[in-house]
Amino acid sequence: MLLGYIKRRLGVFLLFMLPAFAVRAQDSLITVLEAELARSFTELKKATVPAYYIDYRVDDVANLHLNTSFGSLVRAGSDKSRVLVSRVKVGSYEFDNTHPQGPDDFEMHEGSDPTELPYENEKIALRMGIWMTTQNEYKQALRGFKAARQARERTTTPVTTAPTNDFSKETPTRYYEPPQADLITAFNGGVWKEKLKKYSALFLKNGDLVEGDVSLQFSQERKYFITTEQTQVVQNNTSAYIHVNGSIRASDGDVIPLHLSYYAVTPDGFPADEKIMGDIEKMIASLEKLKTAPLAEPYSGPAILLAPAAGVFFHEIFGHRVEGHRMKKEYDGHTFKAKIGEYVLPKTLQVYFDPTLTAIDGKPINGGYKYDDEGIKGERVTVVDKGMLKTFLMSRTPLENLARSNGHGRASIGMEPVSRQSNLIVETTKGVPMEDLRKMLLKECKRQGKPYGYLFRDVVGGFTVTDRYNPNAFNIFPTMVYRIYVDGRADELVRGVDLIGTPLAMFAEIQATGNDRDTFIGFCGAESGYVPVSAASPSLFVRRIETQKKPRQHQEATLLSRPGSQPQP
Amino acid sequence: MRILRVIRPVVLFAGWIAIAQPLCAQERESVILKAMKDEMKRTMTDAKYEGHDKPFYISYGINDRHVFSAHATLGALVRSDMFQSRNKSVRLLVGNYTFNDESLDNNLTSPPNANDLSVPLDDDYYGIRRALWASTDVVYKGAAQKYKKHQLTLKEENKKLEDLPHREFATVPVVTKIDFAKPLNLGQERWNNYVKELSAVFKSFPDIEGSAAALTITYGDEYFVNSEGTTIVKPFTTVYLQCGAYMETEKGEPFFDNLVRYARTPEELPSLADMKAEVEKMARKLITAKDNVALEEEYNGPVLFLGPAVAEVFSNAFFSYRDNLVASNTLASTMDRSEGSSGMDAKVGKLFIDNTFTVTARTSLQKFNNISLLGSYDIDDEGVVPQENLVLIEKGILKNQLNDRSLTKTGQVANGHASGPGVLEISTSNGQSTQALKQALIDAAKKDGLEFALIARKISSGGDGVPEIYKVNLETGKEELLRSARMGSGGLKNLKRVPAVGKEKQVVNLPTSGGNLVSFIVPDALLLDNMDAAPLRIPYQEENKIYISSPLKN
Repeated sequence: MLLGYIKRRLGVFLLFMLPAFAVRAQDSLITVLEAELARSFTELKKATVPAYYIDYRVDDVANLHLNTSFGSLVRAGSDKSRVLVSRVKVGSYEFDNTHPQGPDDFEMHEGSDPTELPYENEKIALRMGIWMTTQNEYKQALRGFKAARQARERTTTPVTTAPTNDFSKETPTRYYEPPQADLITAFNGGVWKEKLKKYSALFLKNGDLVEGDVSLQFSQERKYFITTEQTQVVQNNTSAYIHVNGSIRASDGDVIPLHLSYYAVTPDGFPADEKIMGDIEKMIASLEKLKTAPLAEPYSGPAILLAPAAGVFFHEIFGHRVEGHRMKKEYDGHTFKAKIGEYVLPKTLQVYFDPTLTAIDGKPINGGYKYDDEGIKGERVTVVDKGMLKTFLMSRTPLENLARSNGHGRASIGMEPVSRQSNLIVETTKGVPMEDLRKMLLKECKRQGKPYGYLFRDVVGGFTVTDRYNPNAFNIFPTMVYRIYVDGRADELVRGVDLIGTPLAMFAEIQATGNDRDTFIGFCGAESGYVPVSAASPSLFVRRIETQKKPRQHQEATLLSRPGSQPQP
Repeated sequence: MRILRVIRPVVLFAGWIAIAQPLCAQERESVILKAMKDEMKRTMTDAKYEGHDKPFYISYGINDRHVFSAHATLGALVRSDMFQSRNKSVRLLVGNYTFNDESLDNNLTSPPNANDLSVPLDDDYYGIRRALWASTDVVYKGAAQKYKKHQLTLKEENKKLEDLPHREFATVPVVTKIDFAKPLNLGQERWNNYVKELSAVFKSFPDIEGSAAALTITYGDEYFVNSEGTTIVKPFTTVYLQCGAYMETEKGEPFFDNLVRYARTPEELPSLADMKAEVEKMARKLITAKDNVALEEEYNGPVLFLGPAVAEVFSNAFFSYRDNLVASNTLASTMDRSEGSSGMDAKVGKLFIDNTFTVTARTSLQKFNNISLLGSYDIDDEGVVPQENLVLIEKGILKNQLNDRSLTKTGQVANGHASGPGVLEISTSNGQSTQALKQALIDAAKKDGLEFALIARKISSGGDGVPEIYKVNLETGKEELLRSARMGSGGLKNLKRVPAVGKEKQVVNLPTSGGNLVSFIVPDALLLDNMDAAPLRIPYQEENKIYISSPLKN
């Protein structure tokens, strides 16, 4: 579960619509999918062990990338693909091939292998790809069902709770968006190559920088989802990211990286050159400061997490532990499984996930969608109300007393969906100004006899572990960390710090929240692949955190100066 | 020490003039060459690693590639991409030609560069220099440290260099060859259509469950400069076509085949009509494969190799781990019980294979009987011109090995084969007709008391498609294709005594384990004794039960 690079965003965009005749021509794929689904279901219902459900999910994707380094274009390309993933279920909603088979059932069942379909609408070629996939899925389902039944027969432990279904019953949905124009082909590559080269050339001004990369990725996706329950969802999605990666070599050889990202629905929504270049200049200035910053020793004591860092903190320590499908796995730690109705956070805090949001405080966010990857409409889900745990993020894997999905079944292309986070929002009823958080920090430092506390200004991501075979710890990767001294000295920038801890202990240490809010935009990786997510939170004052040294990347000084570092005549 | 980033799956040098030329206008205008030379000169002049020696040799390579690939199934494109990449290679030596950082160590690679810089796609002078600078810095430091360690080793062991197994760096003539690729108007739609049409052939074969056609065309220029003054620019084009199909019997027995074609240029590929006919033939053969007779038990006896299988036999024998005509530059170690290069060194001057064979490296030969030799090259990856008509085996006696510039034994010379074997011609003094060889096969099998004999037309030891092994009736001479037979690859021992060889010559292009193509000019038939064949037993996954009928069948 890794939350990736920071992404900040901008822009809202109107997408071109095609006339109706073009719509029909482009969507012959849905016609083929429907026909093949109906044919397969008719035949598989007649099998000795009949299928009770089939779905097809096709991601029709075009990608484009441009990579520059120190003012030079080093990679450029585009591609398109069409990936099918299918689920065939045998048995019944109550007990099917995905039924948990005990504590060692890490995967629950074999899962789907994605199939790359032709991107051209040649009917027989599409049908053959769909047919092969359906056949294979059915065979896997048969094996899974047999194993699940055998596991049930072996079970001697008395069942103490009411059995839950293996697959939720949902109301069928019909949703259709017309196709968009081909934005990837229309993309002005020449202009953007020059822009990115100009951005990354800023890194040439400092000879100590060892990395100065700026890249752009633009994806246009059309997602098809149909089921034998008569759900049919066809929706579009575009996303564009600019990533800036800079590293500097400190005098001791330590290579220190910083990252900067921008998210927009299409490249038109990116900030103006002046803004991006200004941000890169600031990043370079921060790297220059980090070059001489002292290395921090492991520490335990008070800390403030500024808003973006606090968002990642909540995503890792809290968000992954309310993903519902984990509660059904016997190997999971079940941190909150029995805690619905209990206070798990301070009563001043609310936590909800809202995939219907496209922006927070006017800032576009990337964790939203209309329908999830199981064809369920994305719902706002209040998970914690006034500190009390209310529910979990649900896919179509039901839990006791939570029989339905709330539209959080998500997956990356070609992966099978499970419950995942979307846009995480933490709100407080008692936010205080930053000055007050600092005062609280200093007071707590004095009480604990600490000469300083920590301020985590920015982070690049983090990870956590939720199973019961490993320590249920989290690790967050800060990039800009300051010491705030009790004796009134100026804040001191340090390097080489990772923030670590265990979730339940951390919840009890949250003492106060700021009256501010900022949003971290990134990608989250878990068993169903990488999905875009955001996390918005106020700043936090935490009574005790723990840090450890960051792994070091060492590089000697170069023997010769970097060619072309200064503007050439 | 070297850092190698050039990816060369198959490198062919198409249509460039093998004549030394003075620096031409194009070179003067080449930003890439200028950047390579300027950065090399700066390093040679200015680089100083405190407490270490300066470099005495640097070479830079840049491979500017454009890659088109198309992949289709049943008449529709699954992928069709075109991209450009530029890869670099850097080699830097510290010490001298006789004793340097590569002399006493088998690990010649440099430590990873934590912050490497990619070569720009544009002709960006400073960007190219930066990419070379970043790698050179790491390679130089590694080489200088290693050379110092080697000096210390000599001193501590109190030995003379000649008393230790060591590697020298050969001196070679300076070469200047500049020939840029002519602009290639690929016409992607034409080749997309070619692949789609080939893949559409399988629509007529409903029993085939999976099929695809894929084409990759790679072209561009290779740049090479070194501090000795060698400057090379040479164009390359490679074409790789593959058509594959797969099916299972009801019992789950899998059958597959793979048709592969290499070409020097896209235009040299078979015409669409011819290629479709070949694909159709392959498909027909595949769907009837389940009806072929099976080899029921292991076979030991004479085998007649025909067509491509002859080249496969020689390839397996000449380029094995133990016996390899490409000289190993691995240093023998007192701790290492494997023979390494010394094993082959000891065989020089001795009978290596049957004394009717002579093997000649004709690496720069581009055509034979008007057939393109796709392994051919005029200059190797180290900037060395391959020796013309280099006799490797003369009347069965091993005379030479193929060498690059790393020499591990006195008497070795750099003969321009850093890019692999290139072109090998295997000649024989007493060839016979194929018909005579088949009769000799039958006679030998009878003499051995066997019930049948075998003919191999394709061994496919490299996994390229399925073997083509035929069972020969000793009375009628009738041949039956076996459905599940695997031919032992044989080895040098099988070539020690060769009963009979074909009299016609053929050209076969085969890929090597390193990815390069080797062109073999070999006899069209080869009869060997004491060969092994065995039933091919593929564990079935499960019964191939069809729950939904194939769309091709309804």
